[in-house]
Amino acid sequence: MIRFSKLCTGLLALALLAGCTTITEVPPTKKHEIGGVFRVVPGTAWNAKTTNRGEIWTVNGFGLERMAFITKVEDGKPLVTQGQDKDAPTFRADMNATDVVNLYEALLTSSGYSQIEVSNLRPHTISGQDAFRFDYTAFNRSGLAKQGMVVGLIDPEKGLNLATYEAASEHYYDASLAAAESVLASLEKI
Amino acid sequence: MTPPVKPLPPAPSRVFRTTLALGLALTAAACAGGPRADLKPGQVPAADSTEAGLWLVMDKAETRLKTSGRVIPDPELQAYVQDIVCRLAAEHCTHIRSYVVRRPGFNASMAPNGFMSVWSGLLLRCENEDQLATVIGHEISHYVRRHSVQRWEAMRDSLTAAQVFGIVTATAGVPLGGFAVLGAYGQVQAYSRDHEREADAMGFTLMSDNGYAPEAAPQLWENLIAEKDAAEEDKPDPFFASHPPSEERMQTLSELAAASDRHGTVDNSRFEALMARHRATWLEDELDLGHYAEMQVVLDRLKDSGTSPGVTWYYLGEVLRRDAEVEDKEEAVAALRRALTYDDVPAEAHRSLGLLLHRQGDHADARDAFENYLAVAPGADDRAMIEFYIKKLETKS
Ligand SMILES: [Zn+2]
Repeated sequence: MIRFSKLCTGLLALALLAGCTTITEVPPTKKHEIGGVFRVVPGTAWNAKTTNRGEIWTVNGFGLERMAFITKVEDGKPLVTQGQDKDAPTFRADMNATDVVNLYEALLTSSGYSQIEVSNLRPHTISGQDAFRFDYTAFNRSGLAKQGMVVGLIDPEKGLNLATYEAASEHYYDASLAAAESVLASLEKI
Repeated sequence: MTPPVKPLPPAPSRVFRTTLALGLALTAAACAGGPRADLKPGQVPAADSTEAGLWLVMDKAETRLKTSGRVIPDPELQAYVQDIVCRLAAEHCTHIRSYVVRRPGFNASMAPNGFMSVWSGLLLRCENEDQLATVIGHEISHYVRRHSVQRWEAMRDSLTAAQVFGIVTATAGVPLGGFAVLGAYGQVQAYSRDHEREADAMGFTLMSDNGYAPEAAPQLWENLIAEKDAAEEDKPDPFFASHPPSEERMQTLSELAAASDRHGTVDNSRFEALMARHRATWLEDELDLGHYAEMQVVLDRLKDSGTSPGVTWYYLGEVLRRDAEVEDKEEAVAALRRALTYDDVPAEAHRSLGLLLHRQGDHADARDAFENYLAVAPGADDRAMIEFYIKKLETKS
């Protein structure tokens, strides 16, 4: 279980409160369902942890690179429900892609990120349905440069759904970029 | 009025400081607690002292900040703040290193080794250089009066070195985690409030003796109180928690200003030029915090001052557009339309107007607004998305 213990070390900062709970390896070649919304082909041996809004995946440690799937955010609900500012902005059903960018910026800010620069908001499709994508750079709470990309889908029944990839700009972002792109390209809506 | 900047003296301190083991220095029960003599210009603590250990910790924090990318890469802005430091700190000038960091919210900090940081959110809230000098004078006073080491001595008995490291770095605006220390940190707040009062008084003397308008000091606090009152509920703000109540500070500074025989005025053109350069970026950062009520107070003040009207009206519109508690968006539309009458309006005002009109079902005007956005900002990196919105609107109208 070398992978597990290595992961725990990487997670140390986050684990202060949560501890190293259930982290499982996602079978790389099997289609994988997330939150009753997304179906993806993992491609790489990601380590996964379930959250109350979906799943987060990593290769080397959540602090270094991660994919996050946030699913079924309903009208009037915040993007993330745990440990956030209680006046964190919430998703509204009449939001469009530009509004979701603002919502995501607010989420990063409430997580201690700064100097957030969003770029390249553009249309996208998932299983033939209108979706959108954007990229960003920022500095996290401890001043580490981060880079990320987000794919979003607003669905009349399933609310707001996001699939994101974020990593340290130095080395890690590029190292897992192809793996993350392959996951995002495989996204289907259930 | 700025004293000549002396070259940094050779720093023997660095040599011995690097030879000090961090843990050893911090756990050494060296000097007795209690008030100390003011720091003399260029004075460094004795090698084996607790104070030297604190300096070492803050040297590390300063190095981290410098490489973090948070320091605003505008040499003119950085030099401007350092010039105010020099005007106020006289011969301490070269021993204090100021950094303007990009971060929303009102805060500034001073570490015992002379490492000072000022958040962009604080600059955003200053109406003039006199108010900024009030804050800088306050921070310089912490340094000269050696408040950090006194505060540390007051609490060291109950903490481990690791906890102390967390507190010291958090105090300097370089949070490194350390949830565990917050409780212990709270216990020294009462003690540190006396230091805040002392720093306010000494800071006032520094600014008013160096040609700044005395009444700027209480005015800064009056503005902060207005912001605090606008918030629906008192949020635990790290700045307000570690400081005496703003009302008391304003009162004290008002009395000092009334009794003062100084009548300084400064030329604010350099201040205003630099603020105009960065204001939009800093307001954008502030918007992401989501504290709309406080932000509106800041924007109302800017509006009254008449500086950067296009930027100010745009962000007033944005606050009203984004605030979910504002149901009627007519005011937001009006603010954006007003913003668009000024030359300094950001192109995004067209986009925001389009989004609002789209939501209101005014499809033709929404389309015009989006098209105006692309006309004004042809290279916009969200062009594909806006063209997609326009296409959708065409099918509706
Ligand atoms: Zn203070």
